[in-house]
Amino acid sequence: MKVIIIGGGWAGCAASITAKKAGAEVHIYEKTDMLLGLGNVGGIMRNNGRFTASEELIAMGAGDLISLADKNATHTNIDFPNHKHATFYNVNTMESLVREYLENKGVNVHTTKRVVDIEKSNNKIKGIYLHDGDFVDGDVFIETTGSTGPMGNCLKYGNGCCMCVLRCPAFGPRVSITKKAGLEDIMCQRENGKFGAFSGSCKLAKESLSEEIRNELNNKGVVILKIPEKDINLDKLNDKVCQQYAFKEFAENIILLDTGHAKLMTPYYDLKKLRNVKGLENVRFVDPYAGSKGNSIRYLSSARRDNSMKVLDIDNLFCAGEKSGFFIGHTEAIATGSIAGHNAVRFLYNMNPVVLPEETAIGNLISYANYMLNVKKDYKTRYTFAGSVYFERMQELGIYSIDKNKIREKIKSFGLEDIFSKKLI
Amino acid sequence: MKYEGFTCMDAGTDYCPCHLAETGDCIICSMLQGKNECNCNNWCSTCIYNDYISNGEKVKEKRQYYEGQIIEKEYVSDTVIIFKIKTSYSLVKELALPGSFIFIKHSKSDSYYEIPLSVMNISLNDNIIELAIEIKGPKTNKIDELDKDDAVLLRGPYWNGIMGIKYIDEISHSNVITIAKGIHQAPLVSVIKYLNSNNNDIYTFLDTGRIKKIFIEDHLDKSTEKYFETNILTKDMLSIQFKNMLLDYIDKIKPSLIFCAGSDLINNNVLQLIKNTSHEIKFACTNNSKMSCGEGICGCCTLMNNDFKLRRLCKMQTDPEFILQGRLIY
Repeated sequence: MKVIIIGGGWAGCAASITAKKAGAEVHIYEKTDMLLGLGNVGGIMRNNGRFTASEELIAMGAGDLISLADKNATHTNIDFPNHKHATFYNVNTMESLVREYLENKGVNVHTTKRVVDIEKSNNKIKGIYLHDGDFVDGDVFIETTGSTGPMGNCLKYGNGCCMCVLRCPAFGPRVSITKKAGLEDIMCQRENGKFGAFSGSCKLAKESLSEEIRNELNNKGVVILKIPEKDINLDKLNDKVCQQYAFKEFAENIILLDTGHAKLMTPYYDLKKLRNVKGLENVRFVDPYAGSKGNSIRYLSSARRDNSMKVLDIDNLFCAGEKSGFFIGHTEAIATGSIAGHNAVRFLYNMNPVVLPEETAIGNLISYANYMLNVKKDYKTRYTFAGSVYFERMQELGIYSIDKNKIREKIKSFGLEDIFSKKLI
Repeated sequence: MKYEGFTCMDAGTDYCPCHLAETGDCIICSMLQGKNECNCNNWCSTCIYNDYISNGEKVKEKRQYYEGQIIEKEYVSDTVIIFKIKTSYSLVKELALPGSFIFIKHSKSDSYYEIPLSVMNISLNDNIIELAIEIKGPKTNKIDELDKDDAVLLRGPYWNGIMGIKYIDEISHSNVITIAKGIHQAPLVSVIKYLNSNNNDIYTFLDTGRIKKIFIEDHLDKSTEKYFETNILTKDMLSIQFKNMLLDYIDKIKPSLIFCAGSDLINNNVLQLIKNTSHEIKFACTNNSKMSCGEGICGCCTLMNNDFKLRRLCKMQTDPEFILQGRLIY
């Protein structure tokens, strides 16, 4: 029983773990030389409702990656504008830890292997083609290729390739598997109706900050600096993916978070203007390298799916992460990925899929995003436990909690405790 | 199952994006085919859409005409002439690799008379290119009117004269078999020279065909281990004699690559023969499609096999298998 996962970001890694735990042979195919995708420049966990979702995953037996990120944290329990109790992991050391963990679990990790097409018979995928022409067959497939880039999208819907960590020019562009299967991908819109949205942060080399700011960042995890009045641009908030960070405070201030790099919470920033800020006189970008010009464009390639994460109209294809909806963040990717991995194996054994109840944060997010897209035809809202529309909903419904015992009890009451860590057969 | 991963021979060069970008027919880029999303499975290490937009949504420069002067004209048989032509260094340096070709015409002729010709040999020190022409019809007769010191116009450079060029490019310290018939000796020269420079041992089978003459002896002597003259075809089939010799040599030297410079009929027969052996051998062959503009516009080079994919062979670099198989006529 062979599970093929296409895309080695957080979602693909999470899917590989639950699929492996459920008892399958698991292969991840990743186009770059590293797992985690944009997780290599992310780093924010457990802020606001993500805490609840993280604890739900742990209670359901899919907390492996959450625990790894916790162990690799640079800072824990950090508050910054509109966000509480965040954990920041060190992006510079995370990937190798995850890779080692997956390989020790027996997951077959294939990096620098770009999937370019599929072989399909009726509504069933038979196998995938790699960029070098090799064919790999499989029984069930999970698409976690994300929705970022490639360059054509970054150019048509953004400011062009800004050389982000995905490194499309070197490793080749992402290919949408659902598109190759003959389905139409769903494209997200910004407030002004333009398609796609900018990735929400860029990263500065810590060494290029003034000593004073660097020390403060290392000690506190957060530094907030005032932007000169003439440089404030509130319009830019509409362009960014991360609606949870689209607040006035983020436009009026430079907010730096310590994720190994100094994470600057804005999609892009003119370097000359950035250097006008006290303490940033010598600053430079490390991701994207052309952070003055723009950032990667996302949300142009989501699939239609059901709440078990199975792609509609293809018998043996599941999806997770940004591929499965307009979700933002690592926790969201890990949550959807864990479900997709587990349900892919259930599919192989002809078992009913797990669909999480709407009383859980994860189950609610997954079904709410589907409802808003398919019933309300809302192509503009993005969903995250960490803020904006969905965190407000979590609070209204009383789903948000930071009480670990209470969260575990709730999961237990639905009979879901450790469900993802059990071997199915 | 085999996947046709193809590239564009012009991608990333001075001539990309080309006219096909403007007409919505770029063979690589989904965005330039008028689609809304970037879904590039045949990645050529460059974003053609980015190049197009950053060039002001215009094609890059067109291939130019270069003036040339005939410095030598030699009849090597009744119907085959070898020309040595002195021309610009800018053109000659671009024609060094196997598969390079140019369009040539008498400087006073109309553009209808342009002939695509493989570059047989170049000399970078003297800015000379060597071409072999078989006199066949109106275009070649017009070229035959030219004499030493006459002026010609050369349009180029073009590079897609060989299908499976990557196999020739990547092979070193191996045994290689090359096969050529008739005027196809001309494109063989740059191939054996290149393979030889990468420390390969080359064994060549030649059929002089209707021109009844080996005109590349010097090159064969310098670059190959051994060469044999034989009859390749008997009534549209590989001759028994050639087939046995080839199979013997495959068993004996275990080649990593076979390059076939012949008609598509020969190329396909050799490809099928290789596939039926137990050896894993890469296969490359000449691109025999008819060409007029060389830019994918005129449609002369388009091919549609029984998989109903339209291939523009002046640009598309693919595995020969996809060109040769699934055809009704050769």
